[in-house]
Amino acid sequence: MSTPNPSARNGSPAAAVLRTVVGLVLMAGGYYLSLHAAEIPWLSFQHTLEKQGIPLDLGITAATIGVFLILFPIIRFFYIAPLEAAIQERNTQLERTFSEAEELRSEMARLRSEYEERIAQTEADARAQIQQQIREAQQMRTQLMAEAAERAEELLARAREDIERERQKVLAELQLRVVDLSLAAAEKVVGANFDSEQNRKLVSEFIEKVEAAG
Amino acid sequence: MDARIAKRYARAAFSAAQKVGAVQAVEADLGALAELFEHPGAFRDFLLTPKLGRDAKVRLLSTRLQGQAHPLTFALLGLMLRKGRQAELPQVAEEFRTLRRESERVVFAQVASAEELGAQERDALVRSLERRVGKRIEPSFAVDPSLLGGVRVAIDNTVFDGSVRGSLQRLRRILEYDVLRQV
Repeated sequence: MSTPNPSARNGSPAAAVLRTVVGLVLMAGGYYLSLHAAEIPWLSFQHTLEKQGIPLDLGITAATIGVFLILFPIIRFFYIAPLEAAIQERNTQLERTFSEAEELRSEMARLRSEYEERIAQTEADARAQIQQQIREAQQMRTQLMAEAAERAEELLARAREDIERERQKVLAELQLRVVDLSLAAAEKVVGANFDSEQNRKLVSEFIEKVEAAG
Repeated sequence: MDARIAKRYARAAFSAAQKVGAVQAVEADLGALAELFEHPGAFRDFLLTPKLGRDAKVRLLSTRLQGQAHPLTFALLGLMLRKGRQAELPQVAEEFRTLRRESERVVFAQVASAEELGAQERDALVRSLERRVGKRIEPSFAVDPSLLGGVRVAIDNTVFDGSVRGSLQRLRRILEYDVLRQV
C-alpha cells in the first residue's frame, strides 16, 4: 500500500489561494443570486419547481459551495488529516503485520524444511547405525560360532587324547598285571622244580661269572 | 643315637686294643655283648634300668665279667656306663669291627643263598670274590629260601645277584620298562 505525499495532500499555496478566491466569489455571487432570484429571468424555473414541491435555490447552493471551498483547509486540518493519518497508521500496521506473518510463514517453512531434513538425516543415521549394528552382530555371531567350533574341536581332541591316554594306561596296567601274574607263576614253577643239583650248578656259574666279570 | 659318638668310642677302644694286641679279643667281646644287648633280656634291662646307679652297675659288671671278658672291654663298657652311653653298645661294636676290617684291608661280604653252601662252594666263592674286588673277603653266610635258587652277595654298596629271584626281578624290570615305554 502506497503512502500519499503530504504536499499533494495539503495542496500548494497557489491552489489554496485560488480555492479561497473561488469560494469567496461563489459565496458572494450565490448570496446575490439568492436575494435577486425573482428578478433574474433564467432563474424562473426555481419558482416553477417550488410550486411542484421541489424547492431549489441555486444561489444558496453556490454560496454553500463557496463557503465549503473557503472552509476546506480547516476541515481538512481538523478532520481529514487525522483520518488520513489514522488510516495510514492502520495501513502501516497491517503491512507490518502482513510482513511479520510472511516472515513467520517463511521461518516456519524453513524450520519445517530443516526439521524434515533433520528427520530424514536422523532416519538415515538410524538406518546406518542399525545396519552397522547388524553387521557387527553378524560378525560377532560368525566369530563366536568359529570360536565355539574351535573350542569344541579342541575339547574333542583333548577328550580323544584323554581317552587314548587312559586306554594306554589301562592297557599298561593290564600288561603289568600280566607281567606280575606271569612272574608269580614262573616263580612258583621254578620254586617247585628247582632242586639242589640245579642250585649247585647255578652257584657254580655265579662263582665263575663273578671272577670272569672282574 | 649319634653315630659320631659310637665312632669316637670305637676308635679309642680300637687304638687301645691295637696297642695291647687284643683287637680280636675285644671285638669278640663287644660282638657278644652287643648281641646280648640287642635281644630283650636281663643284660639289656640291667644296662638300661634307671633303678641302679652308674657306679653300682659298674661294680656289678666288674664282678660278673671278671675273667670272662678282656679288661679293655670291661674298661670300655665301664666308661660308657659312667657316661650314660650304654645304649650305643651295638653301634660301638659295629664301628669297632669296621675299623678292624679297614686296618686289615678286609671287606665284609654278606652272602645269601637259597640252600646251605658247602665248604668247597664257600671257599670257591670267597676266592672268586677276593679276585674280583682285589681285597680279602670276610664273609657272612646266610640261607634265604626266598631267593629260590642261586646266591646273592652284598659288599658295601655293591650287590652281585646270581639268584633266581634276582633274575626274575631283572626280567620284571625289563618287561615293565618295555610296557611303560610303549605308553
